[in-house]
Amino acid sequence: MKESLNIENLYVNYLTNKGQLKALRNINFNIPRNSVVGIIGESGCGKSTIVSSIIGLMPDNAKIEKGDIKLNNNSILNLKQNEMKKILGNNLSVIFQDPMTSLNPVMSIGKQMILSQHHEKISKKEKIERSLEMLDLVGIPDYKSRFNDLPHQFSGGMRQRIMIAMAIQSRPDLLIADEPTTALDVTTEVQIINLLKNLKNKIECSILFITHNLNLLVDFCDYIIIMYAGIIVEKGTTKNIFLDPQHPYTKQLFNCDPSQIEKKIKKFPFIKGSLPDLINLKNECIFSTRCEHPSHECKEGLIENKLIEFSKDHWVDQCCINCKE
Amino acid sequence: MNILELKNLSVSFKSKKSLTTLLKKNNLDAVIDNSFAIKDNSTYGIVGESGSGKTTLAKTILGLLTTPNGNLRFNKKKIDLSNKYRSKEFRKNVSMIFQDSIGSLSPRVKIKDLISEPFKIHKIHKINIKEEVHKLLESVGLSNDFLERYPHELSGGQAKRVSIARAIALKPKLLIADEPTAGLDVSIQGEILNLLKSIQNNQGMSILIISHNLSVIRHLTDEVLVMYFGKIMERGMTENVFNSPLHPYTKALVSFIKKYDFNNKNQKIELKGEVPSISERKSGCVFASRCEHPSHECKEGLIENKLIEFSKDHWVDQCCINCN
Amino acid sequence: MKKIIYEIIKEPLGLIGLTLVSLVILLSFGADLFSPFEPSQINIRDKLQNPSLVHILGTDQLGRDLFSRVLHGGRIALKVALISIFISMIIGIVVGIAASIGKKWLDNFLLFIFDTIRSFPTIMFALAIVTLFGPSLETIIFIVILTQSPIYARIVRTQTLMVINSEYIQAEKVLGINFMRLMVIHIIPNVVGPLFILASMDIPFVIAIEAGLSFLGMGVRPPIPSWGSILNDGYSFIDNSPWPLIAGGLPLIITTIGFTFLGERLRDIIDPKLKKYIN
Repeated sequence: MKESLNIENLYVNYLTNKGQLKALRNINFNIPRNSVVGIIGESGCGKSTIVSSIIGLMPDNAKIEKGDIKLNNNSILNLKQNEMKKILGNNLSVIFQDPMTSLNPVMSIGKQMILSQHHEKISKKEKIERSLEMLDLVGIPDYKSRFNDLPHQFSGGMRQRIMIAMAIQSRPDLLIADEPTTALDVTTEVQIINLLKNLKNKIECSILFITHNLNLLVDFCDYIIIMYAGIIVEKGTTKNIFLDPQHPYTKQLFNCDPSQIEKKIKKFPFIKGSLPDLINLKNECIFSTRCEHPSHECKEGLIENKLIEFSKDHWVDQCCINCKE
Repeated sequence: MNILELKNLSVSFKSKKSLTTLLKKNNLDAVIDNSFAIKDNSTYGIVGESGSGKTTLAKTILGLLTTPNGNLRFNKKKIDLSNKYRSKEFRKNVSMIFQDSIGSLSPRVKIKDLISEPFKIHKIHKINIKEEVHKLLESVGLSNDFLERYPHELSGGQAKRVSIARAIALKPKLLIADEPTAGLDVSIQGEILNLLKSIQNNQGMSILIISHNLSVIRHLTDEVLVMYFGKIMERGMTENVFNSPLHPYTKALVSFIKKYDFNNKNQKIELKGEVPSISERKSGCVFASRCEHPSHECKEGLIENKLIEFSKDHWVDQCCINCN
Repeated sequence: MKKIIYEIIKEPLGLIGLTLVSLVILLSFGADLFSPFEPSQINIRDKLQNPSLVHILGTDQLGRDLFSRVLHGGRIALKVALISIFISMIIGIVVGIAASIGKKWLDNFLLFIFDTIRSFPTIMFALAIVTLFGPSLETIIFIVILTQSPIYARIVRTQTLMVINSEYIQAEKVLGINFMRLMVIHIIPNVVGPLFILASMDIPFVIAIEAGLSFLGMGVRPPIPSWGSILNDGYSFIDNSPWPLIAGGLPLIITTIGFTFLGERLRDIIDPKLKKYIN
């Protein structure tokens, strides 16, 4: 199997009292083995929906309209809860943004680490040994004496390390990291990302990394996916996308990041307009209202959003191939 | 001319008394011996992460917290820091926008009343308040539809604009912005920052920006200071500090915002360790535990933090002059 | 206001609650209008009659029209409930805010008083006071205020503590707001929400206290009609006719159901809004 994860033609809707909100449309991407794939997008782009679709924890009003999600070539989309439980924490692990709410506040971290090994058929003593090994691996100082400490006795960065330790214990095929450093200080962020880089090589797993931080994305990921309002607008290797972005949203997103601007500026760039209404979707290109130079076909709604291969390992939405700049 | 001058400000909190803390110090020092000055019509930045004391600093200036230690002068007038009271003139001339834009708006008050609040509080009857509110709303880029709405009906960016409208209503001389870009998508951050800049140009006001977003600070501010664990590590003109950072902490922070270079991949400086807990403050340099090459004096805790002038308008903590 | 009413009647719980409450209030305060007879009009000849077109709920042992007595009894019940709860709320707000923003010793002292009063079972407390001061409408109102104010004060205190450190209060302080304006516009409106829910659930409780005391003969003096005294009479004459008992019990049940449903629906409406604000 070349790929850890395949998402094919995924469409997800949310039923709201104002109608169907089309949160994800025609999502297609793969995560090759041992690679890091990053998804970047702003609020409302659908990146959280992708995560919840993969792990099968969706709100009641969510409906997967069509498509498939495969983990190691096995479809996991319509698995029953007890079947999904066998996979979560085993072949598939997740770490979330806020380590305070992901860890049980009234249970010691040691106990939580032992409990998270419930898939393994080994003795308790072995589980404790493994847990200690993991805590050492992720860089918890005094891990032996702190094994029975409670989560609130650790800093945010430390708690995130504990989450990572729990996530990689089972040597998963895929680790999903949903904005793992957004709530952390920048100096801690660097530590966590470097830790993930080291661990990925040791454990040999793939990582799906969700973020809104461009610098992190480019530093850590092998492949990047850019999302906007429920669709993928551009995807490919980091190098291709960063050095030669094609889609206007990608270009504008990169421009808006002040760290990409070398000289001191007087006026900050921004993207004019606002997110389209995902309930009353029009047929036109989803980005046409904010595009600087929409082509005639885009303005008339004659062309649909669809990814086409621009060059090797570089896909762009077809609407924007036609735009002239 | 300095609009704000702060000298030797220190702020501590009392920890809860318990058996374990009886033996330790009772005071938790959040801010230690901070001094800086903000010029008229300029933008000043305070950079710091959690535990740096930057929010405590802002709250003390505004009288939300008190301290017996320090001298504050606003517009040449001395302000009593040991008292929460601030004169009407101070309140009219120093305003703040908070990090949580929706949470800083009173939930059961309509937007039109929130914006007219400063006029009503200061009993300004001479003008047509309704007209002023309309003008303010327009100047922050919101339409009149927003007048009848409530805070929870706004997005983060819209609430930020309302907060700005409130803060500039009385044309203050100093606006304090606590994490003005927090919670905003990158694509709209620029609009908010441009708004602040244009207001500054139109009205002539100073802005104090508190942020951990270094790239924003770099572009927006004229002068900056870098705080760590309650103390100032480096201070000076933004261009000098960012182009030639002296302190290892500043160097690390600046390394995070360099434009990514595929040929030079590991540019980010990783600092070891973490910000220590406020209840375990030791003597000596606060940064010693994270320094790559601490000098002998630093390791032994023999040298205390103190800002010294390295070059014109560029100050750095003395501990790090010695380090290589 | 219109929005709140719309929200209430959206759900069946709220619709039923609001309908019953409106009915009770309308009939009780319009007792003079709607009563076919004088409540104290004695007519021994027509005693203990079953319901008929003339006497909708029948008559009691003295021939008095039960329907009219029930309506007037309702007016007493609601008067006691509304006045005493209203005053309790006012006291609760003042004392609750004082406890939360005042000095620590004041807070500790007031909490001590609250807990002491609350540690007595309400009915025992009520009986003690009635024995001391004699039974009357005013005594009942006094008892209710004394026992219920601590509950309201505690709620106000907790809510105020939550609100006082919030970012929007700090934002107002930075603007230079004065104390009264801060209280009236920004603190009190955000603190009294749960109070209205409690009040709505409390009204049946207070009515029950009044009815209970009147049932025991410790409440309003005859011939003033009270649901409790109607129940008492009904109890004595149950072998002859069940209707006085029903006449006394039915309004109590309807009022309790109505106010409780209304209170539940109010809680559902106010709580999600609170969650939104907190988030």
